[in-house]
Amino acid sequence: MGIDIRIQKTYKNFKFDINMHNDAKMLGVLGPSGAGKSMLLKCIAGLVKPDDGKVVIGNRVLYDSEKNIDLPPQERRVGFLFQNYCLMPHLNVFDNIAFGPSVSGQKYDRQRIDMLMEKFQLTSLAQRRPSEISGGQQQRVALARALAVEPDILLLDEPFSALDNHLKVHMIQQMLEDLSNYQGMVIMVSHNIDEAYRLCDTIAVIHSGKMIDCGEKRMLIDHPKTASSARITGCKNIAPAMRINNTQIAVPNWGIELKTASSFMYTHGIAAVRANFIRMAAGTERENIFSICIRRTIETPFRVTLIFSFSDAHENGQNEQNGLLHWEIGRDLWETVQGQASLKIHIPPESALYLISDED
Amino acid sequence: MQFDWTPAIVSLKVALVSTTIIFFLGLSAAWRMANYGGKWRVWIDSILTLPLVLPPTVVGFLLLVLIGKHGPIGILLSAFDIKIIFSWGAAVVSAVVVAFPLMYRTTIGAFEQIDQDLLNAARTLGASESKIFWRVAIPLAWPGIAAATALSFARVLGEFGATLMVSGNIPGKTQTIPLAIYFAAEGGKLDVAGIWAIIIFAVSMGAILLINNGSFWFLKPDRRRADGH
Repeated sequence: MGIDIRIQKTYKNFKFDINMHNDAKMLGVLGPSGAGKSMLLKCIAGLVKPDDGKVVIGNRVLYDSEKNIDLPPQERRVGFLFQNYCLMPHLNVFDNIAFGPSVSGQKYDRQRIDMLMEKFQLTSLAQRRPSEISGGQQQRVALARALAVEPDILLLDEPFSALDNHLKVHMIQQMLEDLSNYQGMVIMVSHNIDEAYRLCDTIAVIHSGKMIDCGEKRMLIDHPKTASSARITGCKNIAPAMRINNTQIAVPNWGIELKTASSFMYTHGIAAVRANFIRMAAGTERENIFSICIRRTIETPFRVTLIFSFSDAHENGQNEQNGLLHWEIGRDLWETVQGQASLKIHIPPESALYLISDED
Repeated sequence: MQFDWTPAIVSLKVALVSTTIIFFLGLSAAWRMANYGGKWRVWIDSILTLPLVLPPTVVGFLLLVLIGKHGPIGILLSAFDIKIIFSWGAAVVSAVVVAFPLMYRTTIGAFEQIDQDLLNAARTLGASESKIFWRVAIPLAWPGIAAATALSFARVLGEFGATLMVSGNIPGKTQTIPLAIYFAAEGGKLDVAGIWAIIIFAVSMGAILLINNGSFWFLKPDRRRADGH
């Protein structure tokens, strides 16, 4: 089972042009709000008609503008978990889950619904209405309802955004379990790299209606293809850069020169350094060692983000805002770093990325 | 004094038949328009709403021209030996035209309140458009639909101008309560006019109270189960 999607659509001056071939079991689609993620899902489900293109799931053609194929959503066998779950407010939990099988015309198997309810631990809520159960329970009802019709593919639209933070991690684990027996493919859309990373093996990055990056999740973090991809996957330190030689770039905003691991030919690009990949200098490194000046700190219960600038930065072109970087460290390191007058950091060359600029 | 109750019977008959017609016409027009995004939307919507703001005499005049003896519809019907003008049927026609916009407007408002993604969810679950109408749209819009029906009933019961023009004032045949009030008052029979006025007042007040109270079972969202088990 895999997907083969090519969708073109212009909508209110927004050009949407996605090419996607993938056979991952669980595919994450990551992008900022307004990037066209929901549009992509709606095109797959047949709720929005593309101007042009093709949607193939496995070997079933759902849409093909050239061959004039456009199956209605009722015949696509695409399961859809909506962002706010869209449970029928006038039906109780049982009837919501039984909705699909009961409207499909075939005689439905009540026992199968009961089994599904049991598996999702919803049996005790059978008679409750959606408004009478918690957000997490609503999500499970919506998931059970979507799976009750045995779709070929399951689309999850920001499934965790409506949940409280403390519930999120738990619900992600729960969803992994719930979907472990599901045979079809799952596509999850999210704007949060954490959620996508926890749930999916392969992640595609969407920006302004285009797919700019796609790959195994670790690859995506270590080697994003473009500056936007780095930013969307959570990279905090991004600045314009210029090539000096094969493995050396200059970053005027930061006022430093960086050694990179791989060589690039383009003269202008973007330097990107993830806040977690910066190290404390041990004294044994040969390059990319900098003295820094801590300006501010942002503390969370277990981690601390240090906002710093390079202390021996060349003055030219460096302004206050652009010159600030983020360094994220654990509490334990923070204890030792705190109060030190001068700090030296090390940016491993493989973590100093020189990327193609694709931002406006 | 022998009180003539026939206007009540005529009124009730006209009101029940026309409200039934309005209910189905308004419901289907509202559902179609709620799902129609074409370029004629504004025009169709305006035309369907127009009788609400037109003077009833204008509606009556237009109907007279259309279904009168020499009107296009009148001529067509006379070919089948049906004469609708100045009959009980004409009262129904005028009532339907005048009160239809109330049903249509209130119902389309209720339909447009429904989250589109709720209907989309039903589509991805395999529900046909007609199943979506009956199992999702109607139950969710039910309070609005019930209110619209009660409003239309009250409006039909009070219809005077258009009815007078197309169905006349034939006692025992086309004379409804509002007509009876007018002609009783004109003829100096204030007691008769008063009794009818009180009856209309009570029934209309009842209909409005029903809507505003909203605690009656038929004004609540549909609580039936998705299937017969």
